[in-house]
Amino acid sequence: MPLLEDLWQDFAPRGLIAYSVSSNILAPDDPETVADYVAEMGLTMTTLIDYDVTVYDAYRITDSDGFAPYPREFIVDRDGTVLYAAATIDAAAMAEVLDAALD
Amino acid sequence: MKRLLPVLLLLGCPTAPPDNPPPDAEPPPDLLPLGDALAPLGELRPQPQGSVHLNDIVVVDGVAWMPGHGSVYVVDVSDPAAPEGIADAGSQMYRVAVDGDRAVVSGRARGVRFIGLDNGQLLAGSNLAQDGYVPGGVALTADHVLIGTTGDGLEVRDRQGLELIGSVAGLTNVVDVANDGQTVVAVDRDAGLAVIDMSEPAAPTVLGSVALPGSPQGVALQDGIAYVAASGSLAVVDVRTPESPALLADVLTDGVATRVDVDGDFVALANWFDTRVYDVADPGTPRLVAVEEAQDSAMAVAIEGDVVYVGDWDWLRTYRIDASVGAPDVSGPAGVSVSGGAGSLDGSFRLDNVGDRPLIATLSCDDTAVAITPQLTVDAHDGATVDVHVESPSSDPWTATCTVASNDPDEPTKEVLVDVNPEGLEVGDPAPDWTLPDLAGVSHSLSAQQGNVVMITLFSGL
Repeated sequence: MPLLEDLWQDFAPRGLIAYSVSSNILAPDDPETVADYVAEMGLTMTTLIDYDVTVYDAYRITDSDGFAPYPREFIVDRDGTVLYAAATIDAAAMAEVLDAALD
Repeated sequence: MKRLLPVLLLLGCPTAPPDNPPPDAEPPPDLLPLGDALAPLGELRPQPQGSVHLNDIVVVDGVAWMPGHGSVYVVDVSDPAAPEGIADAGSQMYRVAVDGDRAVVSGRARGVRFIGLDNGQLLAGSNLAQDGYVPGGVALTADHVLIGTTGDGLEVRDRQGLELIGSVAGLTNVVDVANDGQTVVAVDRDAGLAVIDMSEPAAPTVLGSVALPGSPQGVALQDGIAYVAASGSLAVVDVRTPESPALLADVLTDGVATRVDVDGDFVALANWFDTRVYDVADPGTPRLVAVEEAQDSAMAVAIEGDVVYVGDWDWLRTYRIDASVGAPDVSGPAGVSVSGGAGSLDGSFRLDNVGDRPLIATLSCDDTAVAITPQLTVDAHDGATVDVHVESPSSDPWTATCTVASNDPDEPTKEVLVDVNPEGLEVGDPAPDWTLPDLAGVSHSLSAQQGNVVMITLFSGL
């Protein structure tokens, strides 16, 4: 997660919007617990809560083990098209995609 | 007060008393919280006065047959929590074998006799006694009585008049004999464990034999695996290849093992100072799961299902094994994804055993297009990879359910969903819209960010 925070800090000046989405399939999320976690991770991007895991269900990843669910990273282009989808945090690959998309 | 060892020494037991363990003694196997593994059920002193001195216990159809110094005690154990005496007969009785409501009892100096139970009455059958005849352990086959003797070896006698039909050449000092319906084994103080060919009852022969680590006193047999109470040790012998029986395990018992019984995954051992229960799900590595300290001297034992019958000199006590103590514990994913379109696809997942005993698992799937590793043994606190091979008729998504059946007492079956060609989000797809609240409850939606590049990470703080 700190890697994502670094990406967000790097690309925010160029207009990147970033959301971290808490999507808990095991138990209902509660905002306080999520806030504590986010603070612990030092995240400054907007944190959303996927209470009924609809985003979790809609944002599955084909080429990964669909049952090892976290984390999942996505980059969405200006027209709403998925530019990047992965179940591992590969900061270098994401930076390359963001750099091209924000040109 | 505990009886002292000279009784056993008179029986020719060569093992040093447990207070002076042999120099090569290894530490006993892992001990578990044993008090929790045996739940007391009931107890009975089958004779209020005098010496009961139980020598053997066999439980069949809810009846315990217990020869002892005082008598042959026949006890109703249909409710093992409330054992109740039915009848008794004779005295100075030693070993017993039971077939339905008929039993053959040996009495060492008293010879051999048939008894039967009929409407709560003990009936006397054929009787055989002669000077110098010292019978020990006995077993029954459909047509014959097998009698281990000191001096006369292993005898085959008929079930009607106890007439001698044959005896096994080469055995002279047989202390016990067992029959699992397929195989007959005898344990001999001189020859070790011998597998007997009974195809010609008049001329039975030794097919194969193996030396035992200690002087044998009792043997039990199940599915071709023999368990021998061998004085200072529990010996496990694979007799499935009768010509070459193989010693699988030799477990020191910290006592004097005299009787042994097996049922399912458990062996019970009368060990003089205590009664021990071993998990033999993997017969090559018996695991001690329970010890009941004897109040007097533990010389007789039986196990039937999960109930252990302890013969502690004058008392019968019953216990239920709590198999969840130190049990195998299966752990694995709820599902596995297999991707790649149509044709032959491969996937795998990890199956862990987070329990204290070996996990033995059999795997199967509800769709013939899915092949899975059929069988696995996973050691305690270890894991193994399960391979999944799929023949997918198309690149469309479909699922199958596989079942992991195991000896995990809490989860005897576990389902694993095989998700073939799962649908998911790929590069180039339109990102599904969403509207979600932030931590302050303010709504945000993806569609509102049209025109911006958006990075989304899904996480869970758990």
